[in-house]
Amino acid sequence: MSGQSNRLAAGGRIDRVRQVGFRFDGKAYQGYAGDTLASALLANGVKLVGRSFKYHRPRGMLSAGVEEPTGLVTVRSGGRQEPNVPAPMAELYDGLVSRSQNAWPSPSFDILAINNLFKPFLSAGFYYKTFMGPTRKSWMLFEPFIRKAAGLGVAATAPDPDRYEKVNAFTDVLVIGSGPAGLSAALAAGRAGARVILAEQMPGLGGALLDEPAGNPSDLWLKAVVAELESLPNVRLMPRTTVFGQFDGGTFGLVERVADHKAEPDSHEPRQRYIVLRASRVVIAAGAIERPIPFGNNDRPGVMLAGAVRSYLNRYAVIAGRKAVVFTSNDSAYRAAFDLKAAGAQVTVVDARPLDAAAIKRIESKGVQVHAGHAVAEAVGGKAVSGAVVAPFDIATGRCTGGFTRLACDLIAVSGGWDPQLHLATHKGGARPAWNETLHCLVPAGEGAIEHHAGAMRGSFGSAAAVAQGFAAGTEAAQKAGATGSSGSAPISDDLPSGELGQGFAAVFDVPPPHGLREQKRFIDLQNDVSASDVKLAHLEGYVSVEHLKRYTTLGMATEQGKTSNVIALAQMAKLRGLDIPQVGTTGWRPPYTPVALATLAGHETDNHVKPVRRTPFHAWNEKAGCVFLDTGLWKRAWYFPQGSEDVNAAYRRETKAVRETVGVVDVSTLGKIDVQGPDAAEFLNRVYVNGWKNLEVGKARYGIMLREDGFIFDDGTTSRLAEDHYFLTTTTAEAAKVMSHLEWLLQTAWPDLKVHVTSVTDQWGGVAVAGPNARKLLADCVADIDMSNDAFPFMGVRVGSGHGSVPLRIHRISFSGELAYEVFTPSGYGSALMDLLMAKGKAHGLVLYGVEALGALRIEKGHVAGNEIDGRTTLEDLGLAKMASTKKPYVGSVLRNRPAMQSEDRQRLVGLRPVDRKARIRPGMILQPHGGPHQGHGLGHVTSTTYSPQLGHSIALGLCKGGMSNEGQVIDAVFPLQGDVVPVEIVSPHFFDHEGKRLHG
Amino acid sequence: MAEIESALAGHLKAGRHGVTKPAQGVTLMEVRDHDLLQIGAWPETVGAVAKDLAAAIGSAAPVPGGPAVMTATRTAFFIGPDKIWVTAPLTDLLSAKLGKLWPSSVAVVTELGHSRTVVRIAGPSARDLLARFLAIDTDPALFPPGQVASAGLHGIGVTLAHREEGGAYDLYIPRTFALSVVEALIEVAEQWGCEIRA
Repeated sequence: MSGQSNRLAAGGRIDRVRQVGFRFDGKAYQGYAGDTLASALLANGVKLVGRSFKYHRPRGMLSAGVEEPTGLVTVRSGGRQEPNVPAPMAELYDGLVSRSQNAWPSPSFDILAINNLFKPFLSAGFYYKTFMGPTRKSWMLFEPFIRKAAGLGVAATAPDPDRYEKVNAFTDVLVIGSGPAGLSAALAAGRAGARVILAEQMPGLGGALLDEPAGNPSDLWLKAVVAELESLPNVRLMPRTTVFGQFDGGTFGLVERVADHKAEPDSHEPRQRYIVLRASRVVIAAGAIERPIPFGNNDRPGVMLAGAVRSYLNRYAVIAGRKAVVFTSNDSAYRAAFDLKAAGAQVTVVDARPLDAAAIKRIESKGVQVHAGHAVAEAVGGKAVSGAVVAPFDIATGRCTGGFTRLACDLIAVSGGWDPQLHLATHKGGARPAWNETLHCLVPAGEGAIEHHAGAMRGSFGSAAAVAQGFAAGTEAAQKAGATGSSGSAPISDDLPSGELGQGFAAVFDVPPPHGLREQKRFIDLQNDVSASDVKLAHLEGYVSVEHLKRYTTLGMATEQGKTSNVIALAQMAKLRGLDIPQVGTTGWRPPYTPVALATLAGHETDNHVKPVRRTPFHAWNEKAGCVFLDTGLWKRAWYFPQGSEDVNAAYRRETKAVRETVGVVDVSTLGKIDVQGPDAAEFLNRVYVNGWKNLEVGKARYGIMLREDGFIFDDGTTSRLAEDHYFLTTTTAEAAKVMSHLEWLLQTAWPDLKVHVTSVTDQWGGVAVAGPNARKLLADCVADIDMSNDAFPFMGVRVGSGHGSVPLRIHRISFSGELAYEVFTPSGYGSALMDLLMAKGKAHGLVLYGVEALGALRIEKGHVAGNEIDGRTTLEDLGLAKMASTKKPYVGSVLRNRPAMQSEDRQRLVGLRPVDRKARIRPGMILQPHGGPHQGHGLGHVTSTTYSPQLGHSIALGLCKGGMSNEGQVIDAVFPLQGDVVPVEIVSPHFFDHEGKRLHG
Repeated sequence: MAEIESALAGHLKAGRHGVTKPAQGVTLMEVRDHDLLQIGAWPETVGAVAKDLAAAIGSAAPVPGGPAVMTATRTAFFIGPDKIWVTAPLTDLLSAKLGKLWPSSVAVVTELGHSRTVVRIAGPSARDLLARFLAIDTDPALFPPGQVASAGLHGIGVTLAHREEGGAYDLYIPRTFALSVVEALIEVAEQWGCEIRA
């Protein structure tokens, strides 16, 4: 126990056999297994743990739980560094490294403490007032300094070496909290046979019962209940698990801190686990958080919540002060006072309430002095409390009424009452918080559809009542979830804590200084340095709504989330406005109430699994052939096949040239493929495509265009008739999923009378395009049972057969490249077999492999539109495709495409572009402007697709230009403002190559 | 005769992966050489089609929303309204048998055997592994053997079938995503120990 000056020789729930070493701000300390970082620091006499957000005031621990606003530290180092960890939530382990935040060089001597002198200038709204209006631009100058001076911890920059995971879970009853109410609820539901998950954010089960002295009778109750729960196979107890949000449909977000209490996770163990839990019912028994009372300098290290003082004493055997002043407005703080006294401290209670004589007698019988009807008006001391200024106090007016005296002390334990933790009941907007005039706190007004509330969360602060409520809630929850077993009787016991003074609650939300005492900051939100004067200022400036107050003052921001500040702030605003608290209202809560690491939400979806990877059936084959892949959505598409030291430009030019001269093969498996079958399939296609389909013969393919309902082009592709009622529809790669869902939607909602099934077969079929003058000869060498002659297999024909080696094939004579070309499909498992076959026969025909870069060049040379042109904003007329649209039938989009604005001749329409200086390069996305200027605004249009044309020997492009081909022959400027490029270009036909289409019919 | 190549070919290393424990937590193997057909009926014909199918494959008739019907080698289940999936060994030549069983006015058949990679996941930690990927409650009381459900796995539509008592599940993964999904499954399964069977 060396150095642990505040550690008691006995007591607590720590493991004194296991001593652990840790470091804080570089200094080594000792603690015990079972300690938190906060308890171990306090045991070692470290009260000052950091500096405040704005004023750099010295700060220590206020609480012993997740609500901790000031004892925020950075733990671990390197990639595991985690900032803003509440020290009371950091479980101690051997080797823990931690450090203070927002203090340089140390919390004890912090250079930026000078900010405290400027606090009159750093009031609420500082940023709005200083950096808006004429001085707005000065923000850029001051921002780096302000960001350095203000704030909390610093995130790690090194990669996090740990793994995290995401889990789906299901239960009949979720119980949140393991105090007397939660444990009783879990017991009732578990006994009834329901599947139960009990989530407790602390390491041990028991909630407030663990704040009782170790070995007291309630430990027997706790032990028995936990043992029974552990014996029930349908009950899962989850300590170290925080329920951070309630969402629709009984969905809850949980974070389980699997390995945060270790230096490193075990092999393959996640550090944290994000659990998406679906529950039929929930019992919320999340307890309550103690409320501070604002008084002068109430942020000094050594000012702590009374319940926290008791928690440190009884859980960790740490005495937070030897000479304590306990300032309270309710009975609960007396437990801390009495326990401190029993531990050897000198204790004086300052109670804002006028106590009755019996109560005073009872208090004094414990050896505790009491000043009834008094308040602490100011904490004395700088980096630690050295005294308390005490004055008579009138609860009715909320003011000190007489002269003040000073009490020497090293600890001020405060209790302004308790705030039920009802945020989980409000996340869905169900239960609104309602003000309870007796308890002076917000309680949930009613229960959500699947909720049951129990214990302190609904304002029942006694253990016996919590047990009764919890058990009833668990019983009802189990029944409503469908469990039919008996819950038996509630575990009511005399062993549970009891014995309040019966003096009720008083409302004390502020203690202004008594006459003659200089006013000091009275902090409401200790984390964000928001004080009573800030609330007053907000009121003066008209920010009287609690929503405005919050945003103007930054109250309840960051990890604080109103845990210790919310009620005080709205009470002070109510007083300033002369209203009752319910009339002022409260801000709502939204998840997460307690911080959740982004890594936890990502789970295992990191690195290679950030998104799933989609590989074509030819991927492995392409990979072996040296392909360079291009990420296109989730697909890995074959980009180009370099030879030697070729880069993409050299490779695609060679590949393009070879396709025009001999034959090439490109993987086109990423096209969306949809099987359309049924007696009404032709009618269905007739309705979704702009062109007609009823007269398409079996064994033929047709190019089709779909519009959206608003008349703009949706997608294009070819569809082949395989049998009378069977079609094979292809879509673009990008729109495949959208088209599929669009077709399903139409069949299910608009035309349920049509007998048609659509099924995605994108994964079923792999496809390659075989293109080039030698394509027919190559395929003729490969197929076993298809007549490939021009007469037998004409353009837009479709044939089903097999290749040598019994490779099943569907061959469609269609061309995207403008060459004699075929799209050859095979069931995906035969992908490699098809490529082997083509390559085996290909050498004699000059076969080359090509990728999408060359594919793009080939289609641009032919003026074929693709996703760059079908961008969701273009019409049939824009792309020169209006003649395809049937005038004899309705189709999706047929009405709205005829709106006058969409038919306007003034629209930007498809053109071809070539540079006047053939050596110039047209860049993608260039803006088209009048030749010679002015080069302003959106101009005439923009370049959609560009390539170097190996056939023409210069750069070419497609674009959308106002007036379209009516301006053929005109010179305009293609400009690239970011680089200052201006390239004069001529408007030409978009069909740059083989305008008559002789090659594809060859 | 060309070989059918698995989407996982060359990527599954048989043997134990991850932590070594006395008993492996998860076993994982690809179900090969099975065909998959989709039968699409119409509301007024689906009942008769299910009975025809049952007669053709020697099983009970599947019912909408019900569990899969199984024989020793064949399985049939409803995958959606009026749509049935049926699996059988390739040697059964299922496509030839069923492809012409009905006119399109009664039902249509779509071949999907190459579209899905089927991975069988078993072992004591199989449910734990599935829980990390699928929002399906696999409690045996709610998802008993024969039960089938479709869900999103990392945004990919997959189908899970509980095959047999003791927790063996068949996961139907779209082929083009299969390698990516299986890599993720193995990586996560390593925490319990994962045995890949050839």
